[in-house]
Amino acid sequence: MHPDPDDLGTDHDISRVGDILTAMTDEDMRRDELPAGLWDRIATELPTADHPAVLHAAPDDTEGSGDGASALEADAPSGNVVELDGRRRQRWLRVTAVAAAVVLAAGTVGVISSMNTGTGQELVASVDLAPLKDSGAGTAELISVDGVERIVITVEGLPDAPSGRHHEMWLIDTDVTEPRSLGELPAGVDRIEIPVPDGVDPDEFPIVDINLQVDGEAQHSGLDTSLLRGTLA
Amino acid sequence: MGTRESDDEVARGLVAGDESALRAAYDLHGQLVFSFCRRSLSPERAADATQEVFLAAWRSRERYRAEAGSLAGWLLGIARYKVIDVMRSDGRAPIPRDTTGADEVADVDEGTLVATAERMLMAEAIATLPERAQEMVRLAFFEDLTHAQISERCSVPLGTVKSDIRRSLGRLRRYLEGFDDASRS
Repeated sequence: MHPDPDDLGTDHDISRVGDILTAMTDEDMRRDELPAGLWDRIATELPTADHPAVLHAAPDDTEGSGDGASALEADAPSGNVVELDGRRRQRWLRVTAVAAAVVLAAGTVGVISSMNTGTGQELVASVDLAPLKDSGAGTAELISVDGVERIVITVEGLPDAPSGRHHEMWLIDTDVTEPRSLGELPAGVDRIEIPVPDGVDPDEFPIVDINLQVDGEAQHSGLDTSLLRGTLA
Repeated sequence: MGTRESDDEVARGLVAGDESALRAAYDLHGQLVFSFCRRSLSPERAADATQEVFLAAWRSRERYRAEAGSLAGWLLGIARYKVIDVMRSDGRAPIPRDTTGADEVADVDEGTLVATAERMLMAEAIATLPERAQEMVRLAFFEDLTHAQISERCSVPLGTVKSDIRRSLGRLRRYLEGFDDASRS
């Protein structure tokens, strides 16, 4: 299967190797310690059934087709939600001021409230998510559960993600420069609850966005891929 | 430092979709990838880039061709693009270097990244050589000894020194090749 490892290659190849060797310094030998927990961050984002990116696998959910994502329980009790804190990397997007204006125009501003919704749970802000592609609707709520902020997103009538794309949820800052991923919205899920990621202040990242994200792309795939959006207030 | 054999095993597992193979690749080469990213990025951003490298490796695992080069080379080939992506998202480094934008000076350009990756890969590659060959390569390239001097130092016939070094360079060359094979995953 392998070519002969002793195949020397051309003189040019060999000379290139010699040049690289000659240019090497001690710094090229130095290795930095891997940050603790980095593998866990990677494993958390692997799209496999063993490592759901957002939610826990519900033991009583038998409707899934077994592909991992659809086996996830949408209405996860908050206690079972896999914490994203510190594991989900921050993501970025550079967009134009024109795009920012589009964001601000979209969505219905929610009712500012802090009404109690249950024991130890407080509704901090909410918004109706407006369709940007003429279909679908949704809501987003910022709740505080015993002092810990979570985002609750509901959707209905979202167009299916075509092959090579998935629905992903984002919090975006008012300058629309640094979308932070909240993770994938698994196919077929119509309600999801996610902890607000570490280092993300919903006051500074009030825009909730759901887009048709290109699989494997770390950054937001672009504002023209957005399906629903609204600004928490 | 990955040996050829363990790289092959890991590569087979990766292509077969075995998640533990990705972990093995991380154990073998994670430090190399992170160290490479650290040369251009802060610790936090280097960790972000390293994460992206292994996620990209997983997504594009079917594109890895063991016959085209080393796993380490392939991973650093991906890492080069991820470092560039991170720098761009941070608003750093117009790449390739734009000499007309005098007030926004790139601290690292793509050529520098490639050269750094090749030198770091070479450090890994040397460690995969037989011990005697490692010593000869070090003497020839780091201490600038002539083949005759190496022959004397190592008590090995001159012809053997020449053939050992040439064979070693061929193996080192092959180790680099995965780097060129990596696409923007």
